[in-house]
Amino acid sequence: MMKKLKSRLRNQKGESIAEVLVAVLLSAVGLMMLATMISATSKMVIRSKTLTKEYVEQNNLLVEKGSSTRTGTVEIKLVDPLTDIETDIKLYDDGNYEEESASTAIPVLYYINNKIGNVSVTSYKKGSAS
Amino acid sequence: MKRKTHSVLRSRSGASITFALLLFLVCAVVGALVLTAGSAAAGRVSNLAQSDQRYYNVTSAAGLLADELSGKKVTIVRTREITTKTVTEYKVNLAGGAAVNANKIAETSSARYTTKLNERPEVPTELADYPTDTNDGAVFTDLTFLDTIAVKLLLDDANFNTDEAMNQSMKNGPEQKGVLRVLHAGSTDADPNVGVADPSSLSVDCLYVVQPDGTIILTLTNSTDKSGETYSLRIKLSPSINETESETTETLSSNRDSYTDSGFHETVTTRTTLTKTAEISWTVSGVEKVVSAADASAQPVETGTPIETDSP
Repeated sequence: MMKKLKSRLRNQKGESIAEVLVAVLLSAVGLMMLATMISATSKMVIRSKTLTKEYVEQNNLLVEKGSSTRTGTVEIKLVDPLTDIETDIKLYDDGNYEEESASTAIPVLYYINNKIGNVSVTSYKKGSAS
Repeated sequence: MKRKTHSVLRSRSGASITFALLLFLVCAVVGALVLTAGSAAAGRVSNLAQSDQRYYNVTSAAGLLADELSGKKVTIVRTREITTKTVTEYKVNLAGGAAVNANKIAETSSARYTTKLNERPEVPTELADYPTDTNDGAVFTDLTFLDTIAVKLLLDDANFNTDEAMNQSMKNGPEQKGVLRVLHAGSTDADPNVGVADPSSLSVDCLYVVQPDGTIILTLTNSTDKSGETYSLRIKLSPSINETESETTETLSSNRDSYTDSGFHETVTTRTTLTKTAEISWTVSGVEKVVSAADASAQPVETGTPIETDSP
């Protein structure tokens, strides 16, 4: 037993300094890469969270139609299913019949959520700017 | 030196490099996984916007159409006036008392039909010889969408201002189909930087079906975007129909002439007026999300369909 221990202590076999250095370098590069990736992902997730929060807040306004940002007009056309030709259509006469058809354009208020990149979400309802 | 390096490299006595390589590999794999998960989360937010745009597109158009069509009333008044001129020969037995023998010797009828739609000028048709004359199929022009539906439920070119039209009910009309397209002209405001997204992307196609009982089914589908996905919504507008009729008869004139020793002729002109009033208005009775594309072909919404307000 003592003999075996002594031979192990006297054993000259081992790893060269070069081998150890390469191993340390490899490990360091690997760990740095992992740290960078985790850091980037963390930033990405935080940004995504912030964006989502802002987006949802804006969407709540969109649902409540609380903050009109733009005005415009909507037209409703009758389409011939065979030729795909669109013709003007008036949905309803609110007052008395007029000989000349009133405009078919319906004024609308747009509500826009452009909190995510270049994709904007638009909702609208009938109405005009006061 | 070269030999030494070679021997070091070929030495099998240490395992540091193996462990280092293993650690590097683990780090690379874990890092890649974390990065992929993060990217996927960010991508989902972007897709959420596109999906929401489809939803808001269709629900906004649905709200607009429901607002425009719900609660509006269309009234059609059909009138038929039949004027009958009857000549009756009376033979009086002067010698023997007051015995009178009446004999109808002539009867002619003419008719005048009118159809009045809301506040529009009425459209009349005169028939000089009722009921053998036929009318010229007069029609209204420049009808609104609801006027068109109501008129087709009750009348059409073939039986306009006729007895058939007088007997027709709004509760049993022909089925009608068509497509309405909701188009955007874009924002009219001056600042283009905060303008509405591509107006053409907001367009919505609305397939309408009018059932024989007057129920209108609107199936709205957004124009396909880059993803090619669509969102469809179906609205049911139930009709409220009120049909009434009244008939009056009045004597316009009564003349006696052609007196002879044995009797006289009496000419009586009467007018019988039949007035039928039909009123129809629609209210939104159901909204549902259309799940499959095949289902979007305007199948009727079941009665009592719950109104769905969930976002997609």
